[in-house]
Amino acid sequence: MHKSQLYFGASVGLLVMFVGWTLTLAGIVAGALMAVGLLVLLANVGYWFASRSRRRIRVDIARQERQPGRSQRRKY
Amino acid sequence: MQLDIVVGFFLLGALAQLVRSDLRLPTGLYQSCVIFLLLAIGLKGGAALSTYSAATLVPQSLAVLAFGALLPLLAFPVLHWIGKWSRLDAAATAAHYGSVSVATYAVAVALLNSHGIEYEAYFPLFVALLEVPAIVVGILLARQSAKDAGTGKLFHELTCNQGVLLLLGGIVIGAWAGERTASVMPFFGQLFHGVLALFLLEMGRVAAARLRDVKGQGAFLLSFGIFMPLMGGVAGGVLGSLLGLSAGGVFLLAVLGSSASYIAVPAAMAVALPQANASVSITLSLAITFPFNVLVAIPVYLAFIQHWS
Repeated sequence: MHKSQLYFGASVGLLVMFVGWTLTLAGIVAGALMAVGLLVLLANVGYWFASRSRRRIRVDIARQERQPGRSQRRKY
Repeated sequence: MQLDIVVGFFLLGALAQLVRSDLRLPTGLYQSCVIFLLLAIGLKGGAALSTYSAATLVPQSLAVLAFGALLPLLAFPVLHWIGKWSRLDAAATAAHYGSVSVATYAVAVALLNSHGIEYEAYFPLFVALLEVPAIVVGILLARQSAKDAGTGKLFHELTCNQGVLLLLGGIVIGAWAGERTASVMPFFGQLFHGVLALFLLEMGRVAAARLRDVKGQGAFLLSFGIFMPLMGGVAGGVLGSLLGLSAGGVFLLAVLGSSASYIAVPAAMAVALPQANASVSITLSLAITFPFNVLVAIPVYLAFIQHWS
């Protein structure tokens, strides 16, 4: 996941939540809009952390493979 | 916020898919529902068309055409620069968001009818008009000339696809017949809600079946699928107000701006931009934007319009 996608998703989530909240304050029932905004925000943050942890695992594996001792052990 | 009864059928279809029920509308029946809805919408609009003058319709139609061309221009930069999508995929998906979904429009009309809110009866004309400009803009954004794609085949797809043909056909027949449409209206008018309910039952199932694809594509798909209908809805609402439409008309133009095509544009894009990833565009419009519009956006727009007026 790109950083720009995270920023966009978080902005959309916050904006939708804000619009839903404003409409509710104005007397228009828009709780569903707030819920959708929250969902978008949480989904983006969740995907961001999931993609970061996947990237870290890949880096760790690559580092382990570069160490000769470890690769020898794996070979034999 | 009130949901129309037909939305219940959409939820039932989605639930059936999620619990892996074997519920499935026969293909022939689904096709029949599509034909019925397009003809019913077209006929009703056509019958009302004769009561309006060209001086009213022509400027409004031109504004709606420009609106249809503008929406992909709004969607494309978000997909290409923020989403980091390829130019081709971004252009093809942007075209989906410039065009409209007749099913979403039908849900909005059903909601207006059940609330007894008046609207400009010639709106089906705008639905038909909005099908085309987005496809042209999408192709231009992809920088692939229509000549490469086969101009004749593309033009045929643009003008003779089922959606446009039946909608325009219904409008022409309705305008020609005028009051004589009353003889077929017991069928096309009174059964409209029932057929829409059946259609939405299948749409709910199809949308839920695509949810797995959304999970695989990441959160950007969700963000864009929510962002774009809201932007289109606001733009449509503003345009409707500027055109001096009634509250129902402003609501319908907001819904049209909010909706994304998943029948006509995919067919046209398959001809014009065959290298584009069709799966991602259809997943976006069908599994995210369509349910969002039906369940959240349309009731909020209606509540807003009622509050405003």
